[in-house]
Amino acid sequence: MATGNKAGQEKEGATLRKKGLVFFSLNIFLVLTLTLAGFLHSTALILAVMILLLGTLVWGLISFQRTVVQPLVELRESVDQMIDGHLDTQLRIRSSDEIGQLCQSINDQAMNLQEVLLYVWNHVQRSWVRMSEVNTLCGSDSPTEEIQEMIQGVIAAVEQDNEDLKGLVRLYNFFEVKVEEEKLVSNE
Amino acid sequence: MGKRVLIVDDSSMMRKMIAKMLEPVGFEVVGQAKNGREAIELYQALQPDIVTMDITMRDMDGITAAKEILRLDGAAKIFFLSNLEEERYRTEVEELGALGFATKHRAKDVLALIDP
Repeated sequence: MATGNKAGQEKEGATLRKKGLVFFSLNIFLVLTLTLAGFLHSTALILAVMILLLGTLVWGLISFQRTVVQPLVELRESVDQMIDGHLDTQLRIRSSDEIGQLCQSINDQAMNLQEVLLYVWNHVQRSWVRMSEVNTLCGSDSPTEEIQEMIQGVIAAVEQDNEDLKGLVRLYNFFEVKVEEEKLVSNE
Repeated sequence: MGKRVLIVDDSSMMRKMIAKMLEPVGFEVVGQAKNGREAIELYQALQPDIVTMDITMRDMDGITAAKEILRLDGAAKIFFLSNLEEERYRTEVEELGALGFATKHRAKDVLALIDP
């Protein structure tokens, strides 16, 4: 079965990892060059390489702040909003790197939670309507066979609605809780 | 009507639920898309027999995607499944040329629409 681009993106999006490897390799290279310059007793070369090395480290630090720390701080703030019930919060996907993919997944999580809650709402509303119907039917003076059948019909419909709702809950795995024969039991 | 179906919904849980509704009656889920754009791409790649389409989706909504799919393939069979019960969508959907509208929360309604 085909889905969207997730699998492809996982390979394309490892840019933070690549950046890290580039940074690491560059530093190794400069350190080795520095050592070589030391052996050659070349002050000029030593100085030049040291400047390059310092420049690379500074670049690394600034880059890390910008591409990792800052986005994570913003990410955390947005997720706190979602935790607080604001499921309309959308994380801005600024890049296709590892952090961008994380933001996409978190957005998906919020969407799922929204759908689940709307589903529950819908079913609770429908149960309420059905119960009103039963109430009306029970209020009639003599429960004829026809009325009894209608009541049975409503009850069957409510049972179906509840089965749908339980079907949704069964799609989830819960922490230390599981659904066993219609009951919620401990999973330990 | 053939039974290869493309499910379009931005929530992966809802896609699972719809698959669970359709598979027991013989449908084969050949693809899942999470927005209108993916829906169009997968429709072209997979040529499913029917499409279930959510309406409110980020990036590209279901109505826009359906218009584009019907433009590419006038015989496309698209069923709208939504969590909104508003009657106003029904007329828009019919004008579009889609095959109907049901709320995705009610398995019976979905099956009555798609596999009567």
